[in-house]
Amino acid sequence: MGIWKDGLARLCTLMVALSLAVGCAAPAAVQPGQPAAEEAAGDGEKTKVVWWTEGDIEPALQEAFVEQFVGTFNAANPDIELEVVFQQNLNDLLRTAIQAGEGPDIVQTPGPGFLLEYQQAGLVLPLNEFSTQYGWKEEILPWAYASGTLGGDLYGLPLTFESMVMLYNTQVFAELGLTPPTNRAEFDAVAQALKDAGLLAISYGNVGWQPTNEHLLGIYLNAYAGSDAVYEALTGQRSWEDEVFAGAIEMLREDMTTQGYFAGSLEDYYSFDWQTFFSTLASGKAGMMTIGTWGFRGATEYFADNPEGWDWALLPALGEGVEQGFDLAVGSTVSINTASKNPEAAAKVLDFIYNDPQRAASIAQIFSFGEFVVPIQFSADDFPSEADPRVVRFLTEFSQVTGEGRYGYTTWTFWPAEAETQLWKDVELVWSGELTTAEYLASHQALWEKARADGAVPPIPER
Amino acid sequence: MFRRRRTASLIPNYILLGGLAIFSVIPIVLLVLNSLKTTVEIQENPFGLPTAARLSNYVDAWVQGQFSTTISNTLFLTSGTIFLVVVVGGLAAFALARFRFSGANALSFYLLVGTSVPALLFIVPLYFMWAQLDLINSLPGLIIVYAALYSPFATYLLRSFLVSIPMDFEEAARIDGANDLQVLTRVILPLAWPGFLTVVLVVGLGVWNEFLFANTFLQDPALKPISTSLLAFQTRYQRDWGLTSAASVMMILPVLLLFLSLQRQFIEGLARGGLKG
Amino acid sequence: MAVTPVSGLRRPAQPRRRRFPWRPWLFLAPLLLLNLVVIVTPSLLSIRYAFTDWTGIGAAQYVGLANFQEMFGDRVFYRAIGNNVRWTVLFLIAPVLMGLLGAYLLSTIRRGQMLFRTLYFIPYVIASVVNAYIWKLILNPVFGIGPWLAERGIPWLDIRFFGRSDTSLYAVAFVDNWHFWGFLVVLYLAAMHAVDAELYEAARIEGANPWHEFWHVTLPGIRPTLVFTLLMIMIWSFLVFDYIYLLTNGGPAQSSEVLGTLTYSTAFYSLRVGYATAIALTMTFFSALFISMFVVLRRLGWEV
Repeated sequence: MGIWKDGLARLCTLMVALSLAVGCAAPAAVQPGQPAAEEAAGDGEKTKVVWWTEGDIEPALQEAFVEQFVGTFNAANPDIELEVVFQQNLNDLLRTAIQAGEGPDIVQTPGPGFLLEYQQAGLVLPLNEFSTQYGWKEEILPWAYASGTLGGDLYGLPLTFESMVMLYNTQVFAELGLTPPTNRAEFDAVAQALKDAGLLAISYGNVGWQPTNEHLLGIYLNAYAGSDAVYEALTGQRSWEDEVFAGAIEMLREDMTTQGYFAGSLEDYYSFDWQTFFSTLASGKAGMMTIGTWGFRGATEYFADNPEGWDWALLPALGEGVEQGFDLAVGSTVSINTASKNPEAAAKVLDFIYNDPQRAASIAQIFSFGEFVVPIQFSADDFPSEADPRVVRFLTEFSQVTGEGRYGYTTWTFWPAEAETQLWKDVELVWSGELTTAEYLASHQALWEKARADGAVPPIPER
Repeated sequence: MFRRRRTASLIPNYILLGGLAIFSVIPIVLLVLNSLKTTVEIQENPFGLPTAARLSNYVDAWVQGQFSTTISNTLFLTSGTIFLVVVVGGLAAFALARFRFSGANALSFYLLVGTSVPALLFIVPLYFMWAQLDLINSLPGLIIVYAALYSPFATYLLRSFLVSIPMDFEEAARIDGANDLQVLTRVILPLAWPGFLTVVLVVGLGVWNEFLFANTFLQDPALKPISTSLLAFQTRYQRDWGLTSAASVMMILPVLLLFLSLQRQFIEGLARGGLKG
Repeated sequence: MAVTPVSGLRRPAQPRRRRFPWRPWLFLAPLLLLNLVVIVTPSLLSIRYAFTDWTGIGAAQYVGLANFQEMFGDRVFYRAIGNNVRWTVLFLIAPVLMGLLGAYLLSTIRRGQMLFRTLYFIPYVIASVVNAYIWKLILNPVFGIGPWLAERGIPWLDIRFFGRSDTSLYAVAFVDNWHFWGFLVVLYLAAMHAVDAELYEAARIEGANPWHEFWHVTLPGIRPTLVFTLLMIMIWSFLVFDYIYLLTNGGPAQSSEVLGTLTYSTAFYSLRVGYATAIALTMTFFSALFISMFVVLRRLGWEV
């Protein structure tokens, strides 16, 4: 009896003491991500627009975004109160919330495949009228605009775009007298030279993000089979069982296993995470890294002591008669929730993302051009002076190269979800020898046929 | 406690216990050391002492992780859930341990199967229900969910403690005219105290570290729990491990404190409860 | 419905004076109500998804038993079950033995008992994401303990435990066990404290050695707790998700794939919630199987 009360009392005391200790600090706490809460409560006149975005962004960058984007928008639109909430596990959360008729006004998805689902379920609004009103079609790069156009109507705008590139350690390359490879023969020569010097050819791995496999698959499919062949397969004119694709998968298997180009061996590729592969490149233990443009952020950070130590190049063409180019990717999209009470105000927020290249460039600068890189026409003088010249070169070159039609397709933007997952999951069975390339591609083709029958193929921009 | 041998004969025991302790603790020591390093230093020197103790990691983690908000939310969630689970589980365990009634086996079966339902199976429909009941973005709403998740476990654990308590005490109380509830609160509770402490610990810990349900059912940043603070230092591909380590240490401390303070009670409970050996 | 009080194992049942059949149910009502609202109702709502091609969003189409047919023809599914079984066996042995050993040794000492118990318990307190990170760091292929020792002439630990198909599952189980076994120490120790001291006296008078004491007094004394933990381990082993997800995500090449990770990737990567629900139901099915075993044991007269 006494013990019970005694114990409970102590427990309560402890809890209360802890609550008080932290409670005192609570009111003074700064809350990045929701500066609007108090004002909104005090001012009922304003139209409220809520936008949930990815929560996996450093707090300092969240604050900067809130200040530079949300703050500027709210100052320019006194009748609207924009609130940006950084949500962990945004996608899972949003899928659930939006179907319960809840969720934010601005719906952010991880890519066109997800947008397609929301559109088919009637959860996002068509944006045609807003597009005409604000002239989005003229502002946004045509392929990116097309990726949000479903059945002739615009439903989402690409919020950030990405592409695969080859990062390399300039000092290692200089010491060994190497230049970035442009074709298969050069690629083999460079990789061999790096291996002979006791270094890793390519520093990369899939720990922490197993779908990393698909980065390599996208590169090999486009760079070996050629983007035209990939386009034909995406649009159903060519089978994935075609020998050009089998050749690409075989070449990747060789490079992963016998050649050991990636992290030295399959085992190490399965053991390298982001900090390992970046520090390996930065410390000169590896020569190259095949990564998306989000890797610019990592390069800036890991080469902080030696800022000139890295550069990027186009990926080599791996097949005969294939041209080098950029693989297109939309990192995420934004749309308006059908349940939104203020679609006009939400559209105004969307427009604010795209209507000023200089502002867009300085927002992207906050994230070292790893997030919020909107696919609009940038010219060199749009960028703030502190922008990294290598990144500026990428952004300007990207418009030019893709404008010439030299572009390929990344799996996470243009593949239906199930086929995409099979591609990056089962490829490990190909590498371990448990599945033949032919079996692997046959399953892949079957999943494409199923997706096509179900109308689950994301829009493929015309070449 | 039960039986003592002379200290000399206990030396092998201490050696074994020490070995197990090293196994458990070395990684934790690493965590504490890393909480005083920058992320770059962690990978350059993962096993050594920090060159200069960066206590600022703790301040940064506290501020950036918004611990002042999340810790009080989590304290509320934890104490609310513990209270509810102890009451609900205690009542149920008493019924299962002290009554024989038809349906008891079926009931045990049903509850255990309930424990084994993967969250993925019911979280989405539950969310829809909670949305209609306006229990999204509500700490009490989440406490109800947690209580339901942990009560079956608590019931079984408590039941296994209750059945090992001899009936003598209870029978004596009944002869003195105590009713069921009085037997439960006056006789069983004091005797099953270690069991209840275990429940408090397990449930408290579970709620303290829980992320999936909390993140799904609480979307308002002002209501986020402490487990989201731990994730505040990650980007899509990497984390600031210095800050994450500091945040982890801060997250562990209150639980450890709870454990230590209850341990003392635990021993006391045994001594006073008449079960001492 | 007849209500009679359960007596402990050691005592014969005695009839109670008053008999109200609703009495136990009154005590059980809050638990049942909570369970019904939070778990049963939504789970039942969810089961119908297993018979559809629902993607997680929008309308679902009824597909009959197609998901189950596909599942039983899927190699990954069997591999996942095999790994769950391996996991179960590992966890029925390693942490239980370590937990019993730790608890028994602790019960023999007084000085330092609290310290050791606290030290063993700390890993259990830490969130899985942090534990996973600590071990990833220790086993890092470039700056982990393996390469560190290899540089100093001890190459045999320089192994990619998480990166090799033949070790990945065991490596993850090792980390999970490292975090889990201390919890069993606390549970078993608490149960050992509740064992009647007279039984030890009696054993010692009969001249039992410590091993006999442990085998004939301690183990039977903590049997309800022991069986309870074994059952919980079996159930949890078929639900295991977080450590595998964090450390290997089921890879490499499906070598650590379990039903939990398969359900997750099917639902959230492949966007096939209908199919994922069918897999998740299998997990519940296996648990129900174990629980049935448990119920049968009780029918056979085990007080567990």
